Amino acid sequence: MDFKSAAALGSCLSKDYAEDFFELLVNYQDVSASEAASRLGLHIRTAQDFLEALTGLGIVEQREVFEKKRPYYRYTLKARRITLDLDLAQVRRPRSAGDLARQVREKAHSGARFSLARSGDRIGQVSFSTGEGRERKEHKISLTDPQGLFLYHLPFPNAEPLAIGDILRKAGVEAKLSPEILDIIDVLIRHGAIDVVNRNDASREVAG
Amino acid sequence: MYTLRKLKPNRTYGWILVPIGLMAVMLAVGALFGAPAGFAVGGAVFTLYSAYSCLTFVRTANAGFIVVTLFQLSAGLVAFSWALAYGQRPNRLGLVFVACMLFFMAWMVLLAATKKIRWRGREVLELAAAEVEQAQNGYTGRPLPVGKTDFTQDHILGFAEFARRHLIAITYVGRDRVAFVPVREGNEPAFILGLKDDYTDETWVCFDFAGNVSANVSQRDYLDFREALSFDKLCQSLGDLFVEFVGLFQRGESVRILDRLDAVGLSMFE
Repeated sequence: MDFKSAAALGSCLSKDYAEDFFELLVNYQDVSASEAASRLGLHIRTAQDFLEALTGLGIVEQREVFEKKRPYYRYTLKARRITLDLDLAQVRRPRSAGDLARQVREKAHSGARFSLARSGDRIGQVSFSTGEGRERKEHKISLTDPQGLFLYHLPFPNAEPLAIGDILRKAGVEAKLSPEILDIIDVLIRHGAIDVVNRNDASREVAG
Repeated sequence: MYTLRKLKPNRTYGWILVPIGLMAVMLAVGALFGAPAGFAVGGAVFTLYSAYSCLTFVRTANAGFIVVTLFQLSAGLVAFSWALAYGQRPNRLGLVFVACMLFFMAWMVLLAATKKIRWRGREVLELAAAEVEQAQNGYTGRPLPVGKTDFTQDHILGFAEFARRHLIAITYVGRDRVAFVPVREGNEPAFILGLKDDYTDETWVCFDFAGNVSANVSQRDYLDFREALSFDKLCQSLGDLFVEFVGLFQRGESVRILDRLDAVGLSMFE
């Protein structure tokens, strides 16, 4: 099951009328949205949405019938058991070996504010301001310990950039924790707080 | 010898405003309510000031501030005695107070001239910046991990006491670390009065007891340099300077620390 389907199923199951609705579906051969709504004391639109969501998930089957010339749907339960099986590996971001070789450093005048953690040996929080005037908002990100250690060792804006892997080693952060480090790096790059320096640019800059 | 300064000249003349302000208040009160009232106000201000100097002594253990406290206390007593005996012939006790005041004043001037009661933050920053070259402004609010040392907790705590006593830095002693905040002359009241619980926005060097050293230069101090210095080099240099100081202290050569600070050659008014 993909994440979107799991979220839709979770949303259906979380409704406070879900259990009663399923009881109806299990015990009735088939049911229309208006019959279910009247039986459960719901608005017809609510019942219709619920049944359509279950149809989309393949849990109930929809059949068009006609009363005189007016068509409407009747719903029959198709699955007798619902299993929510979600492989979380599918939301893991694809990473390449080259990710850790990227040369990075803090970007000058980015406006990002780094606050020290209480322990004093890592960054505890990074915050950014977005918008102007009344629309100005502050976005604070509390960092995990490995992220805080990494950012503590990130080269300064006018220092020579370092490869992400080298910074991890310097900070004493295990390589297996690199996905969460790469995640915060991506966020900081998006906010313009980290510079990814091309190896050639960096050597030219240092030479200059 | 002319030494090129990296910091902008000190243009804070707050220290001169205190005696001028006191004189003005004394004159104003004297003109409105009579001379004894003016002297009484002067006495009260000197006595309050002596409490502040006493607090400085308590926080730093710098014995020079006992002399400053005694000068201010005796000046207060002189002012009170003049307020009480205004228009009468000077009595013996009043003359003793004046003699004490002059004695402690001379001693205090000597201490000031020999930089014994001078906050050394300016010298620390000059020394840290001495070898740092101009670069593009690379300021960041993040501290720099300077490196690792093998100083013991006792060495660090011992140096903290030394740094406090010689006004090199205000220290924040934590469970597993000591932070040194070099304070410049004129900026110390907030630290002495305990208004700076959080030092992280200041310039500091931190030694943890595992041997890690980190350094930070505040934006205010960074902008006080004449040129935009290479920020990472400045932080590194500041950290290295304190590592050198702790090393000298460890080897029993603490007098060399004061020699290095004196060698910057700042006058008592800078």
